[in-house]
Amino acid sequence: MKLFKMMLGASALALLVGSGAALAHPDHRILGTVSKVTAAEAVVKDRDGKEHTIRLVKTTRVTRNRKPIKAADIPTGARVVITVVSDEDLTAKTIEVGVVVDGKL
Amino acid sequence: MLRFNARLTLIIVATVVVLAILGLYVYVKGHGFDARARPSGLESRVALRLRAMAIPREARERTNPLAQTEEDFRDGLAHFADHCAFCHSNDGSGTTEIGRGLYPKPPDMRLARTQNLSDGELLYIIEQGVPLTGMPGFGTSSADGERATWHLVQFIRRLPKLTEDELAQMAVLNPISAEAWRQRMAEEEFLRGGEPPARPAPSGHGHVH
Repeated sequence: MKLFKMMLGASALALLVGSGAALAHPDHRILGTVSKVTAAEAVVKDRDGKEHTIRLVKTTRVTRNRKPIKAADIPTGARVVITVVSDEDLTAKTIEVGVVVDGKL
Repeated sequence: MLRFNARLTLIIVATVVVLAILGLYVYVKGHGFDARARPSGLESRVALRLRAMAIPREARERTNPLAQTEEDFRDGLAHFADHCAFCHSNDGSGTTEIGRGLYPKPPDMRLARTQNLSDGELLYIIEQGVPLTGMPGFGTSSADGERATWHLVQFIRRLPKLTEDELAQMAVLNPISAEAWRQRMAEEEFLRGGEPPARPAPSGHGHVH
């Protein structure tokens, strides 16, 4: 019985440790304005003026005002917050589209 | 003669037990453990069969007593996004960091294995949990708690046909840390035309350009 309780305790601890790891899981986001969009990619300029070419895939979820829209409907010049897979893999998981503004960020 | 047979049987049983313990010892020492592994087909079938057998008939035969209105569905959606999606993911597929590391893995709840369970079985599993898996028991033994679980049962039935709009609503309802919440608010302000949010202090986690 004691062994069973220890196993349960260990399982609970493992779940808690695992939860912490998931909460701390890196989230790679790019904020900027869209300078070009095609069916396969979007080019985004960040606040430092650096351009990032973001890969768009079938599972990329694009939203505006929390409503889904098509990637083709992202206007040039729109502010975006993009969640990508990692710094090395710029495949977009989500793209939130905001207002269109002129000028530097 | 009878006494001889009894002694022989005892020796055989003792030998089998000792060999089984030795075999188990050798297996455990040689394999270690890895919760990222998938249970074998046989192990899954036996576990699912045992789970089905262990749910009392009266619990299994219960049906969802709610009117199952759109408001009930919204309550279930919000509850699932806040409490369940952490392991099961918003779409019920179970493809989360936690889910991938559990043994056994959370099921893809959109598939027949979950959808073919009765309302009562779903309620029982949510309220009682499943021992020796990552599924805790969430029952509170209160009428309000059970009502909230019936909302979840109704929501689980809709998992195979959730819309993109509903998934987007859930993403907003998923629990996040206070820092992530501040970051999200700042990003929303940015999307509305405000100043870009300050870069978060380097922590080794996450990255914002």
